[in-house]
Amino acid sequence: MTYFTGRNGKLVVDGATIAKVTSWSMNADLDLLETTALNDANKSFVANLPTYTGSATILYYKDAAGAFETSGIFGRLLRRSASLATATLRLQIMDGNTAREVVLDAFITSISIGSSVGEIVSADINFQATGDLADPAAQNPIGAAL
Amino acid sequence: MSLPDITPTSRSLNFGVWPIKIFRSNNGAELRRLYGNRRTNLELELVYENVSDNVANQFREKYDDVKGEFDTFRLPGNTYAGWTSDGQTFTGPTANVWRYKEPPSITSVKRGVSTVRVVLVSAFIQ
Repeated sequence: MTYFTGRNGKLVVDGATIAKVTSWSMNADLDLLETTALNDANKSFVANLPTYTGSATILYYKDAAGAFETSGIFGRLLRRSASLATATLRLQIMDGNTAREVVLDAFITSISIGSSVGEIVSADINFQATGDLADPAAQNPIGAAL
Repeated sequence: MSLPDITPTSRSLNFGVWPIKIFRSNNGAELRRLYGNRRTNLELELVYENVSDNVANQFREKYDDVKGEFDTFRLPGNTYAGWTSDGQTFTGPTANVWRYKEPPSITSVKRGVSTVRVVLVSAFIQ
């Protein structure tokens, strides 16, 4: 038996691992269409379409080489030249050498960043996937479905 | 070709009217004349939500089969399913036949799934 903790979590944006992620979460929601008719005793449904949304908290961090690893995410919304394109997000839980992951193309829909006395500057981001999830194994040699 | 024998997701009925004509004189006196022995022009609105496109298409086929609002037809039994009181409420004392009041409308909900709205008006066959 194996449990997983936050130590096993990783977030990869456009192929670059974000080292200073304190949390990520993802919601998979399925819309339902009701098919209950007048004489039915119980409600019935058919599946509509799934949606995937999520969030992450990232520390604002400059590495030893002077690079900001948050720039890939911030560049999609916070910059004047923001591309507003999707980012490929890989939400991973490492299982030994295997990355249990969800791979999605997502728009960064919000970034919340602030500075407080006595606290490390961090950013909360929210994302909304577009299209279907990608197959982890097809894109990542160590990838497997979550 | 008959309508699909499925239960609608919503159904509303306008009871129609008795064929009354009112004659009113200038002094306010009123005379009402009854010109028939049954209610007429019942209106039945049926909505079939989230049915398959194939089922939805059967309503269009039926519409063409009866040449739009021209011919009359009887409704399958499940049209009235879920109504637990007097069946004549919907069928009328002489088991009304119906005709389309307007073309059925089909709203595509997602791939392969549609919602159909049908409005019928009663007819009486001697």
